[in-house]
Amino acid sequence: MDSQLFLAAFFCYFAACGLYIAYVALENKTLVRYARIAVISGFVSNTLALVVRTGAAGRLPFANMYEFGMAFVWGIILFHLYVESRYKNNTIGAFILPVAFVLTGIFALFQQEVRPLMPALKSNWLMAHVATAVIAYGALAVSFALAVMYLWKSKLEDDSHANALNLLLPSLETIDKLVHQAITFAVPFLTLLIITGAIWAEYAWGDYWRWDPKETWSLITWIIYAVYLHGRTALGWKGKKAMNWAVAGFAAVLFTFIGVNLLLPGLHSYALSR
Amino acid sequence: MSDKPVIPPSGSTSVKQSFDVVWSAMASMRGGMIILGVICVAAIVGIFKPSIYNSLWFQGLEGLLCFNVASCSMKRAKALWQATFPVDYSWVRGADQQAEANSLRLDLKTNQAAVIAYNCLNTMGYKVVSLLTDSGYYIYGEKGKIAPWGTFAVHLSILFIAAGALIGNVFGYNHEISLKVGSSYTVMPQNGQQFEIKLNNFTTEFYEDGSVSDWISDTAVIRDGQEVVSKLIKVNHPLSFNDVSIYQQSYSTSINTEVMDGRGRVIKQQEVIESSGMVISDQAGLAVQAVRYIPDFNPARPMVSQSNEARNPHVLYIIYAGGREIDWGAAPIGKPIKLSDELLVRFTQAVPVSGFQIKYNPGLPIVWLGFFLMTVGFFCSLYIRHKRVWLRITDDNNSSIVKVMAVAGKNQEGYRISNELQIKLSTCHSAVRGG
Repeated sequence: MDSQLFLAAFFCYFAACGLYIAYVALENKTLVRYARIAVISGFVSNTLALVVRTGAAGRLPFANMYEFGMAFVWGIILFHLYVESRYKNNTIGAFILPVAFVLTGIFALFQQEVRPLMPALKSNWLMAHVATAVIAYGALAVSFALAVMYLWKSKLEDDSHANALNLLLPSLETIDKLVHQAITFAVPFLTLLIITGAIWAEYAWGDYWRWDPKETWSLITWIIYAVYLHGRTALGWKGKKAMNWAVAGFAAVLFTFIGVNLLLPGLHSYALSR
Repeated sequence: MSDKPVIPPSGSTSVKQSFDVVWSAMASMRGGMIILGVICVAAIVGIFKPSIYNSLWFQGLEGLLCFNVASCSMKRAKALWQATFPVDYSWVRGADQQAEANSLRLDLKTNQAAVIAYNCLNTMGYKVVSLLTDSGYYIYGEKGKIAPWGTFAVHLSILFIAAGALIGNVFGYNHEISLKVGSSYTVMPQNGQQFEIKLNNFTTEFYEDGSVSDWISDTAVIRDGQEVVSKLIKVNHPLSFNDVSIYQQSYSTSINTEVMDGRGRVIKQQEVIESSGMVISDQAGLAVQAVRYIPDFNPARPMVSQSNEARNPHVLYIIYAGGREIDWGAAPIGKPIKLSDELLVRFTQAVPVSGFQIKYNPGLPIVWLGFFLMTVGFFCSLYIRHKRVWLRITDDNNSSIVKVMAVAGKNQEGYRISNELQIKLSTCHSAVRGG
């Protein structure tokens, strides 16, 4: 049942994605209304999928890539709804929804039956670890989408034929500020994500750090954002340079979460267990 | 142009200059960012060649990062301390140094305007200090003072984590043992009295779908012949005793294996851990491997136990001769298998074995402290904004001119606060005038 609901969310996000992009292209405000209905329907469906999965498993759905993926996308949409209502700009969805839609599709591919927790996952740290991941990754996905928006808009600004579209998007300054806000919001949670994982590993495996590929890539991700923060606050990085770091950071997030599970076996291999 | 002769630097001066350049680069923030980048690249390579993580040069990189963090933090600490705990109030005059300011005229005397401004900042949550000088009033408000300390704490936490890891590596120990049910192992801590850990029982619990729910080692700590602690050690539930932690790490079965001659006399006996083997004759290259213990054997599905009860216990085995597999099968516990005309082998008993990791890490509390500092530091530095506002109130023909200057990390934010404050001051002023 949860898989059908998640699939429904996938189609809603797909529709919302198309409608937001159509709005940006055609500037027809009616499309935004439908896009918002699609996003909210997808979000409700996504929430129900999480609830049904929780009920079926008898625990929070954080045990594998499919389950965490549902929560991850849910987090992205939650942040999208917040950013859109806070900044009253309808074009943001055209950049955030494609990310949410693609990720929903990827995670739906890893759908699997509910299975009980393996011994290593039977820990209260699991909830803290994954909850921090949902918050951090959700906000970083938004920062990525907005950074892409910035890069696109800055390209448009060089193109004199695209003035109308250019005016529709928030100012470069606003996008830059939003990207920074999303990253500064996410970094403490990204840190907590690594720390809760380390403490949990100490209890489960007797070592808080083993240079497991997942741990290594989470550290690399953290370092990318640490460099960004230094560059931004101390060296005055703004604009394209800062946006490139935001894009690189989220690429590292995706590799840590999806790439490592698929390509680099290690202590986190259960994420793909079937 | 100067007519003075130019003296080229001597060799030692040039070396010193180069050293100074490298030193200042390594101690700078940019240097730290470069070191972080190199660590990233090395860490990626390490995924494919894990020995890198223990190599001297990788540890050198970590050391270099610590040096960088320490030197940057020291540079910052003094200014941070002086800003947080000032010894005089001259800094309140910082208003004079702010290039741009908003100003407004209040139809009040300077002392009245100062009171309004003071209260206004107070209601906005600022900690306010005022200073009366010959040229007028200086009022300084500050909030979120802890934010810069958050950044400092994050950097300090890296040093704590590194120090904890170093102490753990140098003074700690970590080894793995396998205990058969009923046997014990003596732990000799470096900083305390030795004790024994005894495995009373080992069980594997399963879910209804057959997957493992838990591996449970029923253990007891014995000191001076007395049981002082007993605990069920499971994954995520280690036993801690006298700073030593014992973790559930693996499990297996010890299979008692006997080799007999043609007349049934036991000529060799050995405890063989599941999946390992026993050499019977070196010369003939004859060996037996106990591949797996199956407690409830079913010939139709020989590799999988029907249940966890020892209803029909068998051992899956492979016989080797001359280094080659010559036979394999499933032998019931106690029933001999013929190796040759003169030799027989039998598996007489299977006892569960639990694998433990025994660890003493004196650096762990320091690492935990580092984690705590890092978490608190990040939330303080990124979630709390350090806001500072300077006001200068001067007299202008019995009216007051209030200059408002604000800084909150970024100039734009400063202007925003400045404007907000200006509106609030005007409102307060109007209220007072109206009253």
